[in-house]
Amino acid sequence: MTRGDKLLILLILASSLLSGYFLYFHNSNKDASHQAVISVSGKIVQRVSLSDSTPSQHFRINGKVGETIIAVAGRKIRVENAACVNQICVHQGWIERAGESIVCMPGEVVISIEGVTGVDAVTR
Amino acid sequence: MNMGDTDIKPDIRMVRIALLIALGVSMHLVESMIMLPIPIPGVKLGLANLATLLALYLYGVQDGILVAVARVFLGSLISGLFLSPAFFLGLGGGVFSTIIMGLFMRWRCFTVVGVCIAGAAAHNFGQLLVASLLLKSSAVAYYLPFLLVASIPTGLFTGFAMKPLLLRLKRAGILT
Amino acid sequence: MTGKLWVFAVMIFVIAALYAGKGLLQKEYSSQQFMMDTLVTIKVYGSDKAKLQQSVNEAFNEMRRIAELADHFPAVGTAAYNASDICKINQNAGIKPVTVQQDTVEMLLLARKYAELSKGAFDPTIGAVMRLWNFGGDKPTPPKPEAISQMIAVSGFNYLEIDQQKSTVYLNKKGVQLDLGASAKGYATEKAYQLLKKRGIEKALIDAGGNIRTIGRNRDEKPWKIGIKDPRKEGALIAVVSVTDGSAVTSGDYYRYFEKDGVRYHHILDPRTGYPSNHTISATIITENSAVADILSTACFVLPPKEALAFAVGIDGVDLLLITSDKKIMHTPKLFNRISITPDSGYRYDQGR
Repeated sequence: MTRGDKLLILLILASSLLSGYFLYFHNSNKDASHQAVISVSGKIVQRVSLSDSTPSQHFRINGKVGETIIAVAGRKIRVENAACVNQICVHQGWIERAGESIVCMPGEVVISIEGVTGVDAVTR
Repeated sequence: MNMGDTDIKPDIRMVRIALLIALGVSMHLVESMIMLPIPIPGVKLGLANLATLLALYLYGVQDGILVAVARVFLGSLISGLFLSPAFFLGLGGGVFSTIIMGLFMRWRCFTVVGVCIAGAAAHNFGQLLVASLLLKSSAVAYYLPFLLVASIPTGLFTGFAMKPLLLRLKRAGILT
Repeated sequence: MTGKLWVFAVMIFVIAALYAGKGLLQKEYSSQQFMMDTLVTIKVYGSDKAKLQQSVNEAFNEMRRIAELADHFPAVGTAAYNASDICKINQNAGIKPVTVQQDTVEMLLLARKYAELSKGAFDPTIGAVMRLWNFGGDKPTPPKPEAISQMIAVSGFNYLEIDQQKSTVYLNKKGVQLDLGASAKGYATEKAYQLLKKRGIEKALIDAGGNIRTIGRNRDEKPWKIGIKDPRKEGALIAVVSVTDGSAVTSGDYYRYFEKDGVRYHHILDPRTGYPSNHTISATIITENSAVADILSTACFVLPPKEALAFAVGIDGVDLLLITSDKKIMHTPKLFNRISITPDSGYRYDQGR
């Protein structure tokens, strides 16, 4: 094996490490886009992008038991009004971190925030 | 005047190429049965490359590509994967790898080991390229670092297998 | 021949590196289903996507099966009512023992065990009191004290008779009712865990409406990071705990409640008084078994903080983190190594004491 061969091996190793770094690690430093996904009975009905510049707005979503009003303000989103009896979804209030979600069981409405998050799951 | 079958000069080149293709195909089938202890999908020993390599050393890039392509065609016909994704991957990887090996062959600073490593890396890279086109997604790039690294042991293996072979061929006067 | 040795070394290094990096190539499969009045998410990792999908579906089916057995809500005469073992037992309270499924026996044995150990802070027989409060109802109001006393009279795990041999359960006093709302979810989750494990899944996270169960480590080969919600501030966490092959379940007063005349009445009742327990606002149990975690989180929410901590310490392999009503974070000593408390969260923290 000549020096040329050995150099080639090192070159391949180096490019592997480099590409590995960029593919696997670089992205987790970037601030991933915060997007809230609203779904009814498993089907996505609306996507909302959440950022500091998002203007306050309201959405009307038709869940299984009636109308649900969702409010967005900047990076936060919440269920403002729901037709369900127990109102658990309303009680939850604002969510803004990636991985968080609000669920209205009777209405089968789910609001979930996508993106890279610091934790894998949250107990409730 | 020469007539009849006494005029037929045996075309050694055609015979040898046919043999190399056959060799490549059988190597291809054999190595697809060997399970390597490397947990990455698509990593093969690269034995079939030996046939392509011999073609390159004997007759140059064009015939090298011929052997590589023929090997993929026949191999996929036999294993029933003709025109399947695996077929196109093999084609893309095989052709790209042959071209790269043909190049590295000319550079004195590399021995056959270097050529084989370069060939293995090019083969994997070529396959990734075809895969990303077929799937229309760049997600396959995820495998790149692993395939690159995997090309080192497989290249070393084929390279060291070729060394004594080339020596023998040189001694026998078949190779310059 | 140093050349050959070098080659050998490189090959070993490379193969080792490939194995180490294997985790990065794992495929992820995640699916959600609505059941047990909540959203259940199962996330699994592996190399065979088809197998992942199938295992997850089986896990969901298993959870549904348990949910059906333990359901105490359905109306008489409905299919759900007939499928529920708990309904059958409740219907025959004071009448006769009922033959039930093995899992129902297991659930009740576990519930009774911890009801005894916690001296009634957790009690599966609070069905009558719970129904009185009607938390899921239209216009719930706090019941009158006399009504509560009446219902307390028909509560108590001492009325629960379980015959393991014959697989029968008997509530030997009329009016006593079972309510497994504080334990069924944990049990179902644990069954799902066992099934996934049996199918050879090595990395998974089950999130049954906040009831967390993990298999192995996460995709980066690190312990799963589970956040504990701040009970008073939406979207904030008060701590993050590392869990490998374990469960984390929280009982809190901020999830299911109603308000009347400015007072909040939440759904975690003290079985001994019949009123919502108020000295703790959040109790999280971290232990291996999810069924145990669910039960103990309720028990430790109801027990006074110091008693709850002593109780948890006394059980092998169980850790507890609770937040008292006067805003103090306390936890069992062994939790130190795998928990990180959010700084400046507004709660007092003195090393968990």
